[in-house]
Amino acid sequence: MIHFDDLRYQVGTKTILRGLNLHVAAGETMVLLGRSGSGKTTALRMVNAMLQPSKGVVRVDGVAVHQTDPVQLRRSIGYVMQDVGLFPHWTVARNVATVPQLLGWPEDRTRERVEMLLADVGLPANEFAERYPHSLSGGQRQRVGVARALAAEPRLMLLDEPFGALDPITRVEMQDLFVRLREKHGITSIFVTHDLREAYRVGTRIALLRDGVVDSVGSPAEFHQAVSDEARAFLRTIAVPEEAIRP
Amino acid sequence: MSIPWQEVGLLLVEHIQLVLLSMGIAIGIAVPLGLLASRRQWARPWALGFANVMQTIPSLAVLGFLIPVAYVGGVGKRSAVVALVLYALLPILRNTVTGVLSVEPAVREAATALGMTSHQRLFQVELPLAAPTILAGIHIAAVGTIGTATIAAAIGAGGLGVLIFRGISTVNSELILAGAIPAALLSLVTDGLLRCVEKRFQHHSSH
Repeated sequence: MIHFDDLRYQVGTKTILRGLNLHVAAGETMVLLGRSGSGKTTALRMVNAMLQPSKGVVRVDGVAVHQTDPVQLRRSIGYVMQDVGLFPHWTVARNVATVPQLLGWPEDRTRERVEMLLADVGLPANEFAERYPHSLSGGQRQRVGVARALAAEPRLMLLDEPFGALDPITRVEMQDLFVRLREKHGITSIFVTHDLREAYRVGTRIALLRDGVVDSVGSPAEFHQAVSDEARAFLRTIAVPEEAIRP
Repeated sequence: MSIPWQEVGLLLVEHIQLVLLSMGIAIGIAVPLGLLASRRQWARPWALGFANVMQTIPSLAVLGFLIPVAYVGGVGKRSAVVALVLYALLPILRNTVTGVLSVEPAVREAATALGMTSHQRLFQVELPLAAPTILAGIHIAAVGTIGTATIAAAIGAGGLGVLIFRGISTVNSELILAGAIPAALLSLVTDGLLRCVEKRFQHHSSH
């Protein structure tokens, strides 16, 4: 469904991507895992033309992203980011309805869709639809963010460290919610994170990025057996030191 | 000597007209210019620099400079309006730029990433979020313009300044007050009205 083909990206003298190749099949949740500066967010933002590669192509369903109208493309792709970016002057319902409104959906269809999605993300419309973002908790805001991304029935969803700012318990709840919604709505996603636990929870495959290239790709089970230095560095982040928990 | 009440009324109306016309023109120039300056970084120092310089020249001097200028200047209302507009530009322009630039980067990013055109982003997101700040700029400009407009009488533009100048030249404090008090009241009323409008705008977007 999505092909990253020899992506290169340079800003000034700094090289961020140096020939990134990756294929994401329909129905997958591909996690882009890597440390800060590994290029994972940069690669993600090229899928919906928020960034243009210096060289190389991203193809969505075989069509090169740079040859499509970026505005139409973005409306067909769900997008969730760490800072959520809800529109503070709009109610929860209006926020969720953003893309359907841009696409000119009839009002009834939009309202139904919004109500269903708010129920899906655990914020019943009768209680939350007319509230404003400033009255919500961080977790509730991101629930609205996820509902907003799903509103126009996208087949593809991009998530940029979506749950990174949440407390660990809320984060796990959101990860479970994401997995449920992904299955219910049959969505392909690319999920950026630097948290290996999160990668295991949400990913069907994990692509480990290092210095702007793919270090290794595989299922979570394969990742657990990975031998590269970078993979082992990540595996160390989830190991509990035995002496710390010895009674 | 008694106060010419009827003349005070007429001059008050004239004063309000002068202020409304100047403010209308100033808003019409400063808001679009501010939006442009907030989008195009190269335009920002030029626009703000020009408005800043205008503000530093004493108002009486601006009026004096305008008298010999063709088309925009001369003696009378036209020069006064030009001068008042130049004065009102800065607060509106500055607040428009500040208001748009202070929209959270994440909000701007979301607008683009969800597929808004830059036009839609401006009118649906940036402008409504900047509105309270822009209004505050208009507020400052309006109250200032009401005061400055009294000086316009010096070049024959009319308004409440007529009474003040006549009072000064005839050493008649009653006449000075007959011009100054309505001008002050007009300021207070305008201030109160705009405060109400601002409050209404801030209702929802406050954090």
